[in-house]
Parts: sequence; C-alpha cells; structure tokens
Amino acid sequence: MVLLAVGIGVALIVIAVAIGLAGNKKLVESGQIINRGTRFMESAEIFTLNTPDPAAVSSSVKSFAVYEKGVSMKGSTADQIYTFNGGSWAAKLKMMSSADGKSVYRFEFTSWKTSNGMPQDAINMNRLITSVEKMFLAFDPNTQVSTEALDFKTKHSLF
Amino acid sequence: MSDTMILILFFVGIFILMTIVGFVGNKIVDKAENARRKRDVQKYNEAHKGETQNLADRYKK
Repeated sequence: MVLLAVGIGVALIVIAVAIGLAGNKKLVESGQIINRGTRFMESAEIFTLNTPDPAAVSSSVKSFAVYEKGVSMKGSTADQIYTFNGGSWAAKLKMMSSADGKSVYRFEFTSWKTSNGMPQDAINMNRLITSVEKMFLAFDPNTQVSTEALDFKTKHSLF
Repeated sequence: MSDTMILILFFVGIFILMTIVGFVGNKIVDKAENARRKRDVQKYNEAHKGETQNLADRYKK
C-alpha cells in the first residue's frame, strides 16, 4: 500500500516535470524565451549599441508581448527609464550614457519573490529580458552585452 | 484550569515560540547569506570586469 502511494507520488512528479519541460520547449521554439541559467535574474545586463532613436526605443518597449501576461510598464522617452512590474517581481531598463554614436543601456531585475528557492515567475522574467535583448538586436545586430552580478539582499518571510 | 484550556495555552505557547525562533533565525540566515553574496559578487565582478559578448551569439542556433 505504501509502495503504491510512493509510486503514484513519483509518477505525478514525473508527469508535472514533463509538462513543465514541454511548455518551456514550446516557448523556446516560438522565440519567446531562450534557455538561461536558473539564476539569470541575479545579474544585470549592460548593452552597448549604436545609439537608437529614443522614441523608437519607447515604442518598442511598449510593444513587448509580455504585457499580455499581466506585466505592466511605466516609462519615459525623455529619460529613457522604463520600469516593469510583474506582480512578484520588478525590473528596470535605463539608458546610462550616450556619446559618440554609442549608447549604454542597463537592464536588471530589482526584486523578485521566490518559493523554495526558485523565482515564482521565472518564465515571464525570461520573456521580458528576451524581449529587451531582441529589441536591442533589432536596433543594432552588433550589440555588445556584459553582465554584472547584483549585490541584492535576501529577506525570508516569517510564514 | 480545564484540560482544554491547558491544551490551548500549550499550542499558543508553541506558536509564539516558533514565531520568535523563526524571526530571529531568519534574521541570522539573511545576514549571513547577504554577507556571503556581497563577497562573492565583488569577487565575480572583479574577475569578469570588462568582459563583453556579442549579444547575437545568444540567439545563434
């Protein structure tokens, strides 16, 4: 009886993992996300590219498909600062500098909630960062990117 | 005092104790984890300073 219960439990876990992997594969194949390390949100990304038109950047940011998944955005074309809110996470895209025809943009997740050590909404976080990367590639196919590990703070909830 | 009352007080006491231990424990864990991360992040960023990658490489199949 115990063995049967354990067997059913294991089978359910295997089925759940298989469904998750199939869903992930579908998103990768459709180009909505790319495969990333599980801790991709722990690094900021710094993009260096030929200076794009600020209005075009705003227009492109406004058209991200991730907003259909409950993510909201506030932004300013003049300041080139965009903040994203996914409910359990937040992110920011900001132009750091622009000179000699080159612009530097920084994207980072500013907060995220986890369950059992895993981000609660990693798929939509991946969707957003993928949209940002694709946007910059569309502006400049030779966009360079560097990563910077974030010194974020952890706060465990009591319950 | 009735047995029921003693039982209720026992569970309330356990709950309060767990809350206090959880609160203090979380503070200690958070502090240690944040200190470790700060050290690791500094080390990583110093080691990888100036490293860049062509963004398009991430999308090559």
